[in-house]
Amino acid sequence: MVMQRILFILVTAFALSWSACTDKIVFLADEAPEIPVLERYSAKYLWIGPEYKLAIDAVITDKDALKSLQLSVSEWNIEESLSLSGKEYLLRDTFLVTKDANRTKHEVELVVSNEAQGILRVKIPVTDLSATNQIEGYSPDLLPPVITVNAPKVNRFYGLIDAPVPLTVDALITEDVEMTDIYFKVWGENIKGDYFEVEDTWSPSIEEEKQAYHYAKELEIPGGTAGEYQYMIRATDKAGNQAVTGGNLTVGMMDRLYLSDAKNESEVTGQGFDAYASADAWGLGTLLPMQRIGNNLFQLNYYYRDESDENIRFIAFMGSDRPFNSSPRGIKYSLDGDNVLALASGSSEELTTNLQAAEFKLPVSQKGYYTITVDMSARTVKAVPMVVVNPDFTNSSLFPGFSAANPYPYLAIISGGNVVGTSGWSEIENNTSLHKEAEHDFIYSGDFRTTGGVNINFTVPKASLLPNSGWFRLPAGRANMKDTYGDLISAIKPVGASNQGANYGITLTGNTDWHASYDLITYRLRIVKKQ
Amino acid sequence: MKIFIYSIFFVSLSLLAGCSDFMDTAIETKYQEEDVFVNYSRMSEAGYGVYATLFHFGFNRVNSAMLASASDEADHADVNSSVQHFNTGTWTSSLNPDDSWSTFYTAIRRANLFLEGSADYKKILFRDTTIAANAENYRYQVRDIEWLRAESRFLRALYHFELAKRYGDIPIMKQVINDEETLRGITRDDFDDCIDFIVMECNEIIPLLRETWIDFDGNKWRGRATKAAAQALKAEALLYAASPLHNPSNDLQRWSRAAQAAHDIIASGKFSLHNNYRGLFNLGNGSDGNPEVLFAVQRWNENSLERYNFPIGYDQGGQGATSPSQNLVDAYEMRSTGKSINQPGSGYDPQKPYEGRDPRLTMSIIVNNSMFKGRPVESWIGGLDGTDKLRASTTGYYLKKYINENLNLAQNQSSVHSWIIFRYAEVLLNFAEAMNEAYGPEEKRGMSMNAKSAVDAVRQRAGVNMPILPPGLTQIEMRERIRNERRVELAFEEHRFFDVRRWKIAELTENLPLMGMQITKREDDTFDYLVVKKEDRVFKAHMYFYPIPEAETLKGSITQNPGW
Repeated sequence: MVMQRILFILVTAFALSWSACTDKIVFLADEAPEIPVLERYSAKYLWIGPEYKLAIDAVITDKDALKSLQLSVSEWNIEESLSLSGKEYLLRDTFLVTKDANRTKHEVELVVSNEAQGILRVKIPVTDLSATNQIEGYSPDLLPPVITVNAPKVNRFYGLIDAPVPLTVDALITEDVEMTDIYFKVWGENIKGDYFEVEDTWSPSIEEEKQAYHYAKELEIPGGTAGEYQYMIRATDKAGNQAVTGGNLTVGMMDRLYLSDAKNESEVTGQGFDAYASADAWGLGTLLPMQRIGNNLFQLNYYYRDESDENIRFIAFMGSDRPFNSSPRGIKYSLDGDNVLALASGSSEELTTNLQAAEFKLPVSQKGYYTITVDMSARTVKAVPMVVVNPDFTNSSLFPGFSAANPYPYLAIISGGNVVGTSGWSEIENNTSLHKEAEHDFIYSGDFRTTGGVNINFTVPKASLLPNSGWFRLPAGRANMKDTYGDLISAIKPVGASNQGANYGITLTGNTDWHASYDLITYRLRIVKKQ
Repeated sequence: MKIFIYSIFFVSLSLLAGCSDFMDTAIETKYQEEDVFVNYSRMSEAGYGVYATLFHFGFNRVNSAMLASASDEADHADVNSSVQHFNTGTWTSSLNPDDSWSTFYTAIRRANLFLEGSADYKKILFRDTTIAANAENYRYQVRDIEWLRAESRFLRALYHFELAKRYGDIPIMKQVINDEETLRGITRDDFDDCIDFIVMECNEIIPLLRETWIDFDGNKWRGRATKAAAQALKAEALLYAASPLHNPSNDLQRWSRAAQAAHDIIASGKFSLHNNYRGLFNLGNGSDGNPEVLFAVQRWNENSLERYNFPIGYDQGGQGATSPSQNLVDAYEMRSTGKSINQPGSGYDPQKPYEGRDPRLTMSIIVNNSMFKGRPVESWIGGLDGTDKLRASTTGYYLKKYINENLNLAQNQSSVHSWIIFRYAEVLLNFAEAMNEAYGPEEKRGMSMNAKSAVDAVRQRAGVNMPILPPGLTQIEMRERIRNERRVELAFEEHRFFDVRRWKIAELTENLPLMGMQITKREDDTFDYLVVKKEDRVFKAHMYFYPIPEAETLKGSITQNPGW
């Protein structure tokens, strides 16, 4: 410790003596150059006639000589550089600028240098005087006319039958100063490439009409072939302000397409549905939703029996139109409506709305599973054989003891109250069962009767049934049962039994005899009142 | 899903950990390369490792900042973040905040290593078909490696695209090169050749990729690349190749090809717009099941995005990291008229600047006095979230897109944030842009849509419902509308930064100062709004392309971009 202190003293003494021997450090007097002077200044944001301008006024002086000036307002993209000379410069300039959408703080940045290398950097705040036009009495017409379209309210048309589609155009056009002309046009083409155009120009002559005009026009756009059209209404005022509005019009562009295989109208009105509480579910009857796979393109996997009484029709809907009201209790379609198409007689793919010349079959000659694709633009139907496979068959909890080579002889229909696991019910073999059809692999069918509201499940035969396996029921809670269009519906799939409570499947109401068929490939359950 | 992420982590951290740059001939590994391609487990993990670079996309692209803060979309509140170099024009070949060269070439090398190492996968995989279970296992592994090989090619193409859109001409690396001499001789390929490579790769792998990973093998592989991801990459690459930066002679055939590629996705009918724009960015790892999402990065539970971006005044933490700009806010139109706010008759009220706007504004950006976590946001000076607070937003706005408002940061709650790379709305806008440039606003030329109807579809998304564009727009007018639509619809999604470059308008847009909103609360509880400049920005002509890292240019034959 003592040694350290001695060492410290020696080092300090050495350092002091060394510094005493060196030259003095001399600090020069402040020789910063004098800078230019901004003597008076203003920057104003002005509205002059139709234009907005930045006006800058400033006097810059220097004791000896000015050298350069840089001026910038970056948000207005203003940037200027000047070479200066002499002792005084009068900066008086204007710049065309854009109108501010919002009240905005602007500053003009000036950088002035002099010959002595002095630099003045200053920001001049811009005074906003743009609220009042500098030209007294100037009252520009800045607002375009206002177009209020009352019609068309509907801009999508079925147009399935070969007839023109009536179109009503109705608009009120108002202008605060003076309207000079109105231009209307509707144009577009159908999928065959046929172009259609109608236009109309009108110039008001009466004073009242120069401020308000009620434009109305009745016309027809082509129907019978899918097409996309547009309309526009353009109004121009005397100052050149324009207002344009318009919209799209479509003909034959469908949102929904269903395949109906109801044999007759009775199978339409008598089709089954899940009638649980108020959340009725569709899709247990004769109408199958086709998945929309593209623009006006729909697809469905379907088993075609190729029997003599086939009655295949395609039923299209748009917008909020539905085949049913809130439930299939309220049917809103028929088999011969304007929105129904079927295979044209003698054609291999053409669809027609002329049902007198249709044959209501698929364009195939053999029973089997097909992927059916309907192009509603081209109005064609194609049926391509599909690979008959169901990956679920190998799942023993869903299909215990089942194989394509060794199918179940029947599916038991279980009705009654709570059905939990394998208890709480007894199978009455060959009484209420869907039996495997001899002519159609994977299809089971049969009749049963409901008396009042009953809950119905399917199971595999009891001999194959294992706890929590082999049950067919709606795959999820009814509130989640949505079809391809988001409507209540579901395929009936094997999901295993519920251990937690009633194993409800579907519910049918009324004292009714039903005929049902069930397809193990597509999981389609078809229930209709027995005729 | 989790298994997939963990696999990626495992591989990225241990098996094929990154090298410093693509010139390196060895990759630091836990296993030697010859030990990797010996069985299904190690080989497949090497394949999953190619995905690891996707985690660089998005939320923390540049030193915890989003790329949006390097464009006119936003400011980054942290003045010390390296992202500021973009905005001040002080980035160089040795100081590039988003220097992606080594990141993506490392990833490309991973892909090439996997593709070459797994070439004989059928011989490598354990094959014992005498036992049914083993036979099934073998078939599964063969299929999986085949898919992984296609996915690795997709990712390799994607990483090339990420490089090309930054650096322009880049070396196309189709194979592993270990020889030093060969590496030193590598030169840059033309941008167009790179796009051709990407397109050719996509064309070849689209038939090999799966349609979806949903409902496959217990959903544990969700997030892997699909056919649609490759289709989207192809469409976007062709769009870039047609854009003014890369197509100075405006070859219309390029636009036509880009339109066709985007239309292939549209015509497939497999995708549609989600009915909840706000919710679209909070789907977590379920986003790949959404009909709008074509490819998204699967991630993990985290809350750093909220910690960085919750408004400053919430006692659960937060700061205004990504501060949306007034420049962007002004781009949102008026909902009732469909007009921009500075058009006469738009209906805009500067004293109620957020009323009646395109709903996407308040779905993407937190504005003053809007509700957030149960109270109005106080962006005014003196307010809880005001710009005068330390680490608060610098612009008066906070980020809302991607943010999970429901997280309680005090309880360290977290959630999965999925970064969407390709989505259907972008495909529609890519198509609209290409169709407009190739044929004009309303020509269909055999497609199912035209430029206008594609933009209208985006504007008419459920919950957004902006008016459709007026008919009869000129090509130039439609171009401006499409560009603004992209700016609004795709805000903060790493598009604007590159869009202004490929449109070659960055010298205009990126030299404008970044503006913010200064808000003062009056005594009657109303607000006074004044737009103020937050910072000047610098963009020079040579910045359309990134500088090649200086270290690379010193090694051999890689030339520097002009101006750097």
